[in-house]
Amino acid sequence: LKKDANILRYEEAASLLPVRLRKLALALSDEQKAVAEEFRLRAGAPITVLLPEGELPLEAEVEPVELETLCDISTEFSRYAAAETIREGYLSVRGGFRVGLCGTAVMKEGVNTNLKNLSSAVVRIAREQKGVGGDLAPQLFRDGEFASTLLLSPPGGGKTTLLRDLARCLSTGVADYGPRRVSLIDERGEVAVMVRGQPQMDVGPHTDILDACPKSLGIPIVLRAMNPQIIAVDEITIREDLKAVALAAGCGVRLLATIHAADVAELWEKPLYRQLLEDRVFRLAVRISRTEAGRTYQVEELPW
Amino acid sequence: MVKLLGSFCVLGGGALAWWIQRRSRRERQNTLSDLIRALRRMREEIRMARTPLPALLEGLAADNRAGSLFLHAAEAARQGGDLAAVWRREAQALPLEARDREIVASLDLRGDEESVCKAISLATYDLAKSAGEQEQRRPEEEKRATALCFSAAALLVILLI
Repeated sequence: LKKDANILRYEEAASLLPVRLRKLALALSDEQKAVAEEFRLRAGAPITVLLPEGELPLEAEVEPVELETLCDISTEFSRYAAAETIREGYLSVRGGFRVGLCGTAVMKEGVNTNLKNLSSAVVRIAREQKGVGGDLAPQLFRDGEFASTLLLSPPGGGKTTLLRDLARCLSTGVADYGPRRVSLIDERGEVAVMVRGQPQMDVGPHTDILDACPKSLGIPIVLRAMNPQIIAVDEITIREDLKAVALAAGCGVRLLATIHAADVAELWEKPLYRQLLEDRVFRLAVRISRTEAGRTYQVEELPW
Repeated sequence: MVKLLGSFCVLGGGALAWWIQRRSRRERQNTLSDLIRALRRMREEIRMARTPLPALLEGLAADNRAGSLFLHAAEAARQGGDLAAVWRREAQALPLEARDREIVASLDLRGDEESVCKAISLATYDLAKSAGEQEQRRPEEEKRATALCFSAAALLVILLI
């Protein structure tokens, strides 16, 4: 049944492609469909399907107009309604899919206002993995309360997937702890995948989502507006983000965040994250490892 | 008596032809006027409210003589179909003059805000210009059609008698 669901998601994602490319994509074997992660379209080059072993080229060169058509289909021919995210280089699509875009940036007064002459696109085949955080979530409580937690892994390790599911678990209620009010700052639209105000991914019944907003601006907004118990954010990368999470921690709000780092030792090596540890904003770290059997999660105590 | 009845029938036929022709012209004018109104609203909605196209087209379909065009296009946009082909096909079925049908059929709703609004503005301008010309021609055409229908009927009556 799970395999069927994976194939179904593949076929849903393929329906975003222009007809000629869609037919080729749907001709793949079920085994390949079940594990495919992305469609990659580059003008003048063959469309490829990203499989665990690498990119598989299909027998069709992508024409520039097909990139425009992909964009039109993804936005239901309402590109103007998605202008804010197009200029950021992505589209959130109904069903939880994301389309990444490259082309010519239209710069006005030093700001990118649009992408024209699209040259590349990637359609990510989103597969929600509900339950991946189910066993982990109860381990993140200390003294009856959720302890602020960092999720660590190198790129592509599954941080966003885990963040989404932990947000859902905490919002629904973990074991005896009951549901928590979670505010999710979804700056890049990858966690909840909002389409016209509706999350395409399940992030829980008590989760408020602020999307397309930088974390440093979004955290004070939800602190003022939503009275959260937990704030969840994806990819802490800049000093302003650190200041904002420190502000939230100072207000007694618990945090759930992801960082690109293999482990806690790597955090200590980077001056930006060292500061975060020294400020004792987070109490726990979850290290995500990929093994042949799947992903494993190891909880570590941070200096507190 | 039979000749008189026949004459009335021929005159009635002439009047019917005149009325059908008049109704058809009025329908073309009303459809054109509805289309121009809808396209103007469409451009404003895109600019001001950024209403997604399927919802926008469905809204425009209500109480509009070109409603079928908008409904079919909305469905194609929502389903990820070939919007341009559907739009062209439905536009060709509108009760308009051939030149106006071509203006509507060639309207391309794909692209970003700037290109869509430009295309709508251009189509609206062309249709409004055409409507103006038709309005100017209307009294003359009506007079000519009336004269033609009744003259033809009168001629037939004379020949019949």
